[in-house]
Amino acid sequence: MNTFFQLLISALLVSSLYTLVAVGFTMYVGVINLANFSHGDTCVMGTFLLMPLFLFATKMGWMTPLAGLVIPALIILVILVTGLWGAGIYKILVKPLLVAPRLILLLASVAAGQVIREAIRVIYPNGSNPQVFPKLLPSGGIELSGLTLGYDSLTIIFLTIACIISLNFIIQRTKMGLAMRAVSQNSDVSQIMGINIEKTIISVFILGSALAGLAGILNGTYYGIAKFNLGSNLGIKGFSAAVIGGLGDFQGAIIGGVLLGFIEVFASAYIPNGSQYQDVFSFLAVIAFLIFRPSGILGEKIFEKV
Amino acid sequence: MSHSNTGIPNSNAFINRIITPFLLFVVVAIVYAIVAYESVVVTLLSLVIGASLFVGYSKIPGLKEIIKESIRKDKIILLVTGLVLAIAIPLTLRSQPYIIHILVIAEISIILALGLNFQVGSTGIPNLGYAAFYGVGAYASALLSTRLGISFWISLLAAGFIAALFGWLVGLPTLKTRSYHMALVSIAFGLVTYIMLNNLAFTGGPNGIKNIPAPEIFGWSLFSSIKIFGNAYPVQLNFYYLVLFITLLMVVVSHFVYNSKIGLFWNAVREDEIAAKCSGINASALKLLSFSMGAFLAGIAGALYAHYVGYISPENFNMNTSLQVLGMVIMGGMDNIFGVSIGAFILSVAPEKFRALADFRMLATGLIILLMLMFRPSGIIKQQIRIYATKYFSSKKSSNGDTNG
Amino acid sequence: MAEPLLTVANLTMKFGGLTAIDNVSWTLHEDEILGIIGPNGAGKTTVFNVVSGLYTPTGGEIRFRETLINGLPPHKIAKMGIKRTFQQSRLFDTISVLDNVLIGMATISKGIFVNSLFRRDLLSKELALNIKDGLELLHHFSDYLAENLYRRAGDLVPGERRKLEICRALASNPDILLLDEPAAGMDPNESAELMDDILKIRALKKGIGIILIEHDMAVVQKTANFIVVLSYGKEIARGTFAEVSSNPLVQEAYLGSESEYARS
Repeated sequence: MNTFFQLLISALLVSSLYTLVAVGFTMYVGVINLANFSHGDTCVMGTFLLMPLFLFATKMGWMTPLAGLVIPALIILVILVTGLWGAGIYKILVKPLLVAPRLILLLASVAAGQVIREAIRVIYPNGSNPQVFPKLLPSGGIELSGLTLGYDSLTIIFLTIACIISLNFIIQRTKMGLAMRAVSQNSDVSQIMGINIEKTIISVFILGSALAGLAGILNGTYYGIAKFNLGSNLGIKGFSAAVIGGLGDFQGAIIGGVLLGFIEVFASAYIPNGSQYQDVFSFLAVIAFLIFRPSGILGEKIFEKV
Repeated sequence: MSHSNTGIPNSNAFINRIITPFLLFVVVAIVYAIVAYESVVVTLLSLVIGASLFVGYSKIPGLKEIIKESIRKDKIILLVTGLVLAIAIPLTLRSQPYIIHILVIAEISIILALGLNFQVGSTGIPNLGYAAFYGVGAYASALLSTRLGISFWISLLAAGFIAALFGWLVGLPTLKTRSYHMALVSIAFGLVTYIMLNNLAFTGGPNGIKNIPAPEIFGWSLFSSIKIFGNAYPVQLNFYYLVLFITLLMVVVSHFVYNSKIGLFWNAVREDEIAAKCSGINASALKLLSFSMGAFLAGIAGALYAHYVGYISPENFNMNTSLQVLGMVIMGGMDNIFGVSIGAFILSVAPEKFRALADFRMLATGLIILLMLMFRPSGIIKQQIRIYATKYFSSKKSSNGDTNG
Repeated sequence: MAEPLLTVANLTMKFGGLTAIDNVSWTLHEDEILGIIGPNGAGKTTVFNVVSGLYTPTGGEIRFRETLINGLPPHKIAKMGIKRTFQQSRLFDTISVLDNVLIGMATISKGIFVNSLFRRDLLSKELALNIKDGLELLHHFSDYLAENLYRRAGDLVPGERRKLEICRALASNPDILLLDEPAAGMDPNESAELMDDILKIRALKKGIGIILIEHDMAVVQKTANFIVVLSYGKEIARGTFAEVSSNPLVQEAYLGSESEYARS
């Protein structure tokens, strides 16, 4: 029972991370039908932006009296920077290539991810080796009849849920969200209806990348280490979660993220030698979906526009 | 066009005929100087000469046309010149086995890039886990020869077919889905292969496979050096010729495929899959063919690499390798066999030339792909229109006069 | 009495809750030109998508001569002899005019794998035949195309694109040709040329049945033998042009759509 409970908590944590990545992925596919393969590396950018900032703040002696204020401020700063990065990626890379065949844009996003990854490795001191990620979240936890619920785990899960709820609010209740939904449905018609497509797409990129930045930070805190090349794996997991849930569907991304997190954690735990093959289980799951239900759990059957 | 040509005096026509082989010679000489001499001055000088040649080529009026015409007319002369150079050059490198080694790697890279070009260039399928097929081929052939003692030639072919089988299997789940699903599945396959190679017992785990035997030709091992006029040549030379032979074979196969209904129908699938299907093309079968044939070439390249280097480990076949081959295809020119080969040559030789900057190799690969896609997506040499031999038009000419001269 | 080529019976196509085609039936005979008209969103193109195999119909049946073809993949339907064009012409843009026509002959290409690699002589023979036929076909419709075989299809002007698309579809000698709004975006001169082209197809290919979706009523009037009018997926009238154009239901459907045009 005890181990099961611990597994449940780690499954929820992994799910949270995957969901945050998947949501961004699915939004890009929704608005401009682009699978942005640099998304995972944007996450890692968040991880590697936070570390020097944290070191700087520690050096300046801000941490001891004000850690409770400084750490959230740093996190918000990183999220803002990655959000802006998303807007930049759209402006510099995606927009000029929207007229080209989709294959070109897809490959360009792969290359962009590679550039981010390698730039981090080359620029960050000793970047080729894993870095110790600072402890951002409070230690300790709640004791519940012999089971420990860490405050850090609770914070990650809580933050993810808060993000999802606010994002859902933005999408369902605000004018910007309405525009996003309209562009996902049909961008030509939306334009005729007076929606500023460009602005809508940019806000999607800002939101998606900001969430990626947060995911990167949380990923760092959860595992306690940062590696420059975690991005490709994280990005693929996010993409897989989005595919499992139904690509382009916001709620689908959440369901997919949770499902993938659970599959990964429980399969690694209960299958002998499973932890070595942790990633293999997720990929088998997504391939099974592509074969038997390519439109994902929530996605409707795709009718190719002719 | 044909009328004006016959009007040109003979001497001019003669110059027109030899200008392209001559230029080829010059270009090869420049590349030779850059690759074979460890001198910054020589490298810079060669680069300057090369650049001015290129400027001259694009600026001198009429030169482009003359060269194109000459390439079209005198293909045989050009090919023979190229072949003679390819055979003769390594003979001058007796004291520089490392340079020959670089050339062998370049040859293997050409095979790799040609295979990926079937998928990315001709069919428009993003394959981001291509190195996995290279790895499957290398491991298959290495295991067959170290564990079962099977001869190189059989394990070479087996490696190709096993990789092709994997290509077919990886293609299956994505037939009814979109291109980004293919990208996902291929990356996933790449990662899974890497994980498996690292964890399975029979592949040797992270240590890989050592002591892969050298190929033998009629009982003669390629690890024994040959003597020409009493001079012993490095063993790399043996491999250079073996791989050259197989590379040329693969170039011919690629050329056959490009200039056939397969290449044509692949292009149709790339341009517009729905229109292709409605024209009667079985898009699924052709995509699977593209997967399998590309993987076949990767498998052959893998087997050659394994038997040449004698040692393989999972690190040779990770995501970075996939991206390097992708860079070769994109830089050289998607769906252009010659361009892709040039891209493969440049991107496999340049890193050896700039070993001091090895740390930036993958960053450079990423930047090259990115910048090419943004500013010159067609690559160094862009995809050409298929020109059909005049013999196909003969029946037309007799009945209706020459309308397409 | 001409043989029936294509029989559509109680055809229905639903996308989720939306019924795009609602219980439609008609028959196309040899040597006949069937016009399908109707306001925008009437489900005309969906009919083509279903007949050409891109969608599997949710109800009813489609028979080519005697054979039931619903649910067959598009390439098999093309191979049986049903070819189509698209509303926004979908040529293979980066390859040449000639290559586009050769792709149109995909259904009559044999042993492509073996011939490409091992029997180049057979490939050669096939290509010679294909190119001869392709050239002849192009000459019938446009000397410009026949003389610019190596031009990229993407560089052609819209009128030539349309002709090339028709040639690509005809290249395999189909029994049925589906033309989806060939006159879209054309001026009166060009549509007049198009009418000639459509009549030319019939003269050229004995027995061919053509289904024509068209908004340009002049083209429909001049070419179609028989007309089916769709509105919101349902058939509202059928008959000759004179019959349907005087039908009050048809007039109402079109007036309704006229006023929609005015609003947007």
